[in-house]
Amino acid sequence: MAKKGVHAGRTTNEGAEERASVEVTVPRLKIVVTVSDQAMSRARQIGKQLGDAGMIIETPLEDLGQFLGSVSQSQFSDLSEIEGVAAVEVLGTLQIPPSPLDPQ
Amino acid sequence: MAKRAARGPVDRNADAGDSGRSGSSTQFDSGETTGRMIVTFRDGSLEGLRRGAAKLQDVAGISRFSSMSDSGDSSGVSELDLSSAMVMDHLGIAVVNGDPDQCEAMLSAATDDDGMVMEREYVNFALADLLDGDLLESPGEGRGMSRATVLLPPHLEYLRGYHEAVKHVYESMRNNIQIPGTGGTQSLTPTAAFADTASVTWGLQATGVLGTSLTGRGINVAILDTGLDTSHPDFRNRRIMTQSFVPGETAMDVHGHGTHCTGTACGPLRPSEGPRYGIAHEASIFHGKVLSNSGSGGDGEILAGINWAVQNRCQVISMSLGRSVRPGEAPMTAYEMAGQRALNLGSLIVAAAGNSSSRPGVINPVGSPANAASIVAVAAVDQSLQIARFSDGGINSNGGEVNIAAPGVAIRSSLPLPRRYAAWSGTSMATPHVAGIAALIAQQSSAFRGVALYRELRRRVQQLSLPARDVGNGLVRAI
Repeated sequence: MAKKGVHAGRTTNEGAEERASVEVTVPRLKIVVTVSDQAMSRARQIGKQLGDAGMIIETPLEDLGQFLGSVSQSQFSDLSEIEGVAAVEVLGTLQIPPSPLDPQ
Repeated sequence: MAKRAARGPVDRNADAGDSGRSGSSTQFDSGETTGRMIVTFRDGSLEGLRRGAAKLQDVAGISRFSSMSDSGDSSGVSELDLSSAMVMDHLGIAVVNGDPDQCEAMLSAATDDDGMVMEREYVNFALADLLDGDLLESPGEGRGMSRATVLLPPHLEYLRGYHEAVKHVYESMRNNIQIPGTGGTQSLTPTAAFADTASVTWGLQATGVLGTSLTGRGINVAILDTGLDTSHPDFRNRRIMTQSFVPGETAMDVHGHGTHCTGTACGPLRPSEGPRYGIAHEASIFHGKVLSNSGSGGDGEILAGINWAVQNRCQVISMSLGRSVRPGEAPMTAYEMAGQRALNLGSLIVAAAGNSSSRPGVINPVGSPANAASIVAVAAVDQSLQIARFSDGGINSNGGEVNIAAPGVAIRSSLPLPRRYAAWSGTSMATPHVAGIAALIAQQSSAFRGVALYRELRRRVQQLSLPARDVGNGLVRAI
């Protein structure tokens, strides 16, 4: 998660204001990028291009031709412009399918 | 993959690799007809529909096919041009408008053909038969009056004809009227009521597991779930690989779901207590923990688990997990392409259709990732081989169809110690039945890998007299 330091004011119990350094998180989207069938042979090169375009690659899935990682919202749309990228999708959460009979 | 619904004109140059398992039937009945024919394809997959369309063109010159999924409007049926057909791809049924000669040609051909049931479409249907008569009583009319025959508007005429055809087919099957070409080797009636015995669970009985000597030996089965309790006595002396993809958690199963699903797919021939519940009892187990101890996980963990399973040459990957999708929602490209690449590398992925329905009133679409066309979506049936009331249905196209059904109600299997065993319900429990049987089939021949394994799995199914929307091709069978 990318962070940047900024200064913000806060008040102590004694009422004395002091300057403190806190970190504000810049939201990043967790994503999966899928390489097209035609570009599978140059997936590593595409991975480098994704990095240059702002994606932080956490896990390359070589057999599947996919990259897991994150990107800022402002750079999200840039990734799909890279030649050989079939899809850029935001990761969601899955779970055990709930059942009305049992919790399974 | 066969999950894709027929779209637009049906391509008659379809792959004829999958032969239909049963022949055709010609059903005759008295009464006035519309001139249209209702054709029920026993194989409701894309390949089955393509073969059927090719046959109709060959024998009767039916040249134009359109898909109801594409038009989204059943009223188009009443306006069919001559020599054309509307394919209800979710149902595996087509309404064909032909002249009398074409209809006769179809009826004649159906007696020799495989995989189709021909019905004439009826007219002047009494609304009473459709709606139990209650709506025929206008204010002031007392009950007990003779039923009126009501002529329906064109779009309801179509529904009535469809209703009559399906009713006829169902009753023929229920009464065990032999339909030519079925061979009588598989029951088409969901009358059997299975139960656990002292020696084996009902799910293994219903799927014919006891009828094979295959064990899954030499096959790698991946279960991506909440982890596995490897200390359970039923997993002693087994070849087991585990990997956790959940940050901060080991592959040990705290939740219980992963040990239960692993037990069904790969549990022992002789458990430490109670009936046999496991299918591929000599398969190598690869358990990837992709769901946390609380039972949830991210797409990223699941994709990483799939990649791990493919790298380890797992011929079968079982995923009893998912999230609900909206009607019309497209599958994720990531799962679609992951499933396709897994197939190309010899791994077949099966996944739970989902449990968000409340039948008969509410039928929700197959969830993600089972809604990817390259992943086999598994529905659940109960001990009477009826669709489980929670099991999601093939509402969405482009992969959102149900492919196959398996036992998923009151399924006994293993749980982490000290609980040891319990009977649970869900499409989660149906999915490892399919995975375990797929492992048996994969053991039988090294040719059964990837798409070929899926085709063989589908070829062996027991047809059920339930909509393809609910059970796909039918009940998974080991033999």
